[in-house]
Amino acid sequence: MPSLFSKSVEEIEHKNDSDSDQVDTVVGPSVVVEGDFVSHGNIVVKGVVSGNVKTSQHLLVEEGAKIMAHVKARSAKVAGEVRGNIKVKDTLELTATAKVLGDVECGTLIVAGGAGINGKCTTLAVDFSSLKETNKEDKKILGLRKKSKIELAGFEEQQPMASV
Amino acid sequence: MYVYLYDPALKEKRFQSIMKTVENRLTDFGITGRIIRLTPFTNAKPIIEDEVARGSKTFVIVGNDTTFGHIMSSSAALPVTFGYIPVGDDSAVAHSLGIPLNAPAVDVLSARKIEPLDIGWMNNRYFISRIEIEPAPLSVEYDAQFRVRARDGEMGVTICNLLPFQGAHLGARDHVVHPQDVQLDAFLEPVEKKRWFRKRVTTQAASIFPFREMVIRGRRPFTVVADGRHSKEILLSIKLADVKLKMVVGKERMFGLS
Repeated sequence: MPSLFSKSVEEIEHKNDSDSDQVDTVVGPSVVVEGDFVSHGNIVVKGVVSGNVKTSQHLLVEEGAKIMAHVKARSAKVAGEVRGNIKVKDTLELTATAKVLGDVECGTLIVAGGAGINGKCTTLAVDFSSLKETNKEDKKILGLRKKSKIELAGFEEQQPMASV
Repeated sequence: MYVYLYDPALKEKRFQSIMKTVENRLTDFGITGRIIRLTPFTNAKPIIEDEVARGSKTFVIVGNDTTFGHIMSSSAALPVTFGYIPVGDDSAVAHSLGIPLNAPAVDVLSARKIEPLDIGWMNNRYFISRIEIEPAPLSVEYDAQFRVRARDGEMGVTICNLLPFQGAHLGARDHVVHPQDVQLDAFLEPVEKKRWFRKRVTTQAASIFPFREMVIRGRRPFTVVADGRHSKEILLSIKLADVKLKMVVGKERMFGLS
């Protein structure tokens, strides 16, 4: 099922044709953007951006595109390179050609096979509280395992050596 | 009270029959008014201000898109209502505003559907439709936040408010803009120089940047065409004006339809 975040440039451009109220920002493949790039609409990056990128809407980094600073968006799909931290409120999708050199923080993370992340990943939409609650039990189990290992080691030490 | 600002070319014989029909229809609708015939060098602003002092509130531009651009460049921000009767064979502005050509435009004028439109300000004058900058080594700074330049040197820039953007590259479609979205739209098209005849061609789709304020700097003077008026600039400061243009529009306009 195609998700909202799997929309391509064609889909965004088609949306423009039907709804001219909102014009998306498109960084073409032959231009270079320098400085903090802030927008309130959808952003499509096909070229190079050397500065922070921030939008309250969707960000699409196409294959071959480069962002060389931090990224903040509501949702994002990355098929190019990002050399900086990515902070996305909703869904972040990394396609097979995506390369991220930085920490990733998002609501939901979708990673395709072949995508590369070199950094810490945090998903905010996933509830980890249940894991914290069982932590004590886990520790107990781990403690028991450790103890049983020591006892087992002691037991092995007490065993007489087998005669050769 | 209506004031009609006539293009000087309307005196020509080829427009006489059209103007007779237009004036007859204005009489039929009971919206005749004072006629002021402009000259190519007339600044419309003091004329309009004088008429406002006399109690006029609606100013109708009668002519073509060049007349429209010429009057708007000085008077767009005045607190009056503007109408447009396009005379001739073609008018991109009228098409965008949903106004038919020649005498049928009077029907739209009499209906008085008034819409507020964004106005752009460039260096020392207003523009309504579009600014076109020919390919040159340019650097564009947006909202004092980020700068955009072409990777390989030259690029052409088009700033659209009312008229759509027509891309130069093969297969480009018209990109319709909205003159009520409280922003202007910049379209950047980097060009490549072909070795043969040093011909400049655009092969990539344009970059699009909605903005409110921008500064364009050139390494050498570049040609600017703002609402049909040519000039050479080395630094161009463009921003969205604080005031709106009150314009009589038709039902067939290309924006603001629900």
